[in-house]
Amino acid sequence: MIKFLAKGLIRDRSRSLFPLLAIVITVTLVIFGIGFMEGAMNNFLQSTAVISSGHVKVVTKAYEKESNQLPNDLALFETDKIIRTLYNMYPNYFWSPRITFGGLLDVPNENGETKEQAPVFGIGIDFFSEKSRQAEIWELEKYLISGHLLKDRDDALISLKLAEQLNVNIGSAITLISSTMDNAFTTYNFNVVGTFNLNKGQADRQMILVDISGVRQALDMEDAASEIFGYHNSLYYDDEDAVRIRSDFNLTYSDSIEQMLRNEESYNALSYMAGWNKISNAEKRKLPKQRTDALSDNQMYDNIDEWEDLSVEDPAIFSPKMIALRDSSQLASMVDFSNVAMSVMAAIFLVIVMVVLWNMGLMNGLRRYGEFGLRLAIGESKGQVYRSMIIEAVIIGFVGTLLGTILGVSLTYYVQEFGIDYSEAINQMSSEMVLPNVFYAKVTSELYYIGFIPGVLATVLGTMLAGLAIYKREMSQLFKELEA
Amino acid sequence: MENKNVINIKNLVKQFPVGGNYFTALQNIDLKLSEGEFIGLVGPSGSGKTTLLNIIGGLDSATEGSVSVLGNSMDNTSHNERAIIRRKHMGFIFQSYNLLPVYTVYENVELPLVLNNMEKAEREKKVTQAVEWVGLKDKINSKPADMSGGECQRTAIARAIVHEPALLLADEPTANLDAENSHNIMKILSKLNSEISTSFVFATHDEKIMGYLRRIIHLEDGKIINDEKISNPKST
Repeated sequence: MIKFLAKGLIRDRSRSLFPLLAIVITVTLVIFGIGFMEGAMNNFLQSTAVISSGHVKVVTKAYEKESNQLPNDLALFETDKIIRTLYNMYPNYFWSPRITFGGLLDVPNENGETKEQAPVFGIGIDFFSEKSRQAEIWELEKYLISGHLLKDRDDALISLKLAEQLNVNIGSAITLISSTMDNAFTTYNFNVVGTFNLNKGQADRQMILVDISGVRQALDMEDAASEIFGYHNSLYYDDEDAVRIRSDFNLTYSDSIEQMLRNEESYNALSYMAGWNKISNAEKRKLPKQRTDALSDNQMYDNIDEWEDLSVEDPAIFSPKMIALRDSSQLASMVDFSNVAMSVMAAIFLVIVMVVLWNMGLMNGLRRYGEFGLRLAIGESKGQVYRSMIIEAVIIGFVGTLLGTILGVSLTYYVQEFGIDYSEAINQMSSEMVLPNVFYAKVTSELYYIGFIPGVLATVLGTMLAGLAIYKREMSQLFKELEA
Repeated sequence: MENKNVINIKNLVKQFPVGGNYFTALQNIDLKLSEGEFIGLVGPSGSGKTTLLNIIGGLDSATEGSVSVLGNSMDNTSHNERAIIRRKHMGFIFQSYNLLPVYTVYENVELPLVLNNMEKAEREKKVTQAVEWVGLKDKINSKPADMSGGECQRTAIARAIVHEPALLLADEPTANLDAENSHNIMKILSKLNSEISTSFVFATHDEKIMGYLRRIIHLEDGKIINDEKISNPKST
């Protein structure tokens, strides 16, 4: 009987080919849609992570508050030690110091006099040490327009837009005019070894990239860094994990009581806190985070004016603080939006696919009442007819989903490798966010199975519902419908 | 030939719920059919002939009374048991043929044998024989869409008799056919009735085929109003 039914299934295109096509198309769309959304969002987050935020980053509390002014006088000290601690605490992440600086870039003529000048946004990156993986994540080979990558402490890469503005060629010497970590005036010469275009909108308009060793020399920042960036070893941003380690670090390191009370000045400042002094030492040790939050908000003082009059600075102002990618401006809502959008999109797709395939199963069942009636009349039981319908639906659903998954994953993989170029649209946008010009999809493990949920489930459910009529109707009534 | 009872119906009542009330489709039907009989349930639309045919075929159940078909009480059998009785001992012919369009004549006729788990070689033999009976040997690989109404109905007959059932039920088998095809069909059925020991029950109001019947049961408003034996029916 199975062979007999299979023959009919193959021959009857409205039972096999059309439902198969419908399932293949919908499953392909579901998979590609989710893969593209996932990839595009990760591209966006990764671009932001590479250039400005890391998956997480460590800064001083003071630096965080003034970060838009690139305040290197508030930078982190003893970065090697901090990085060692971070590797010990979070081995799933790799850590790299970075100095972000502003200044004026001076291009001299052959007489050493100023030919061109422009404000510059510079990033000192640890390109040379093996562990930092910065060369890998920046993918500078891909974005290099001319010249070569950094080889020496005093080498600099300059963005194509800035190079054109300053009329700078490969091999030119450029002078950075800026201020040191101690706010002293400084100048430093770099050699232009290449130009780049990051293809990320306006993000690289005024950018130069140099090795951190050169910037440390230029800005007198030995063993110091503006920020220490952390990236998950997989390079995939996992928001939950990033938030978890941020909270963990800040609770156990940044907010520790020892940190707060280690100097006399802090202790004296703390003595003004009426609320704090009423709490026992045992309780104080249990509540480090709450206390720090309270310090920031000045909530524990009986008289806030008194605190302000004393002008005592938060003693923890130079303690390191970890910030997750989502904590950067607008990114929290972007990350949340992406999560919600992904869920909504998946749900909408699921509902559409369910409705389409349910209807398809239903119509297919209704259309075949004649066949069912005949089979019942010549001696098949209701159960046999119903089971054969379900088996057929499972086979069609499974094969369709399998093909749809192969097609969807292949399409997603293609877009993951080659991307979709939105350069024209992105370049017209003026945004503070780092937007990639090319969006890549992302093949994730869920894409291999997610299509089976609607593809098989909806088809089978639709067929099951259509088939229920076989059980619900009196056979003669069903029969009458067949004859009509 | 006419010896044991194939159908034995006593005090059959069939009611259908209509709104809050019941419509009585059949009332106090008593009917016996012996092996090899060739009878017609005749009456106008709504007289209850199709309902009676459905109850005999186990497609519907009686509200009251008892129905015994081929020695099986249809009152106490489950859906599955009735399906087995139909599969092994009954054949159906329908007004609209109900052939499966994606299968060939051979495959349509083969279906009841497939359901009865018959060996392939035996199936082939029986299908060929049935197709020859109805004169469709040259159309054995054709599909219903490529055949005329008469040919389709002959295929349906071959399918109904291929497993040589004890009882063949035909509901308006000639209603969609012209006069010539109607006579051809009835000749085939009449010939089969004399060659194989199958009993035939027709539900019909087609005057053209009345002459072939050997017994006519007249139904009106759900009651048997006349049960007449025909002394000189037409034959092949």
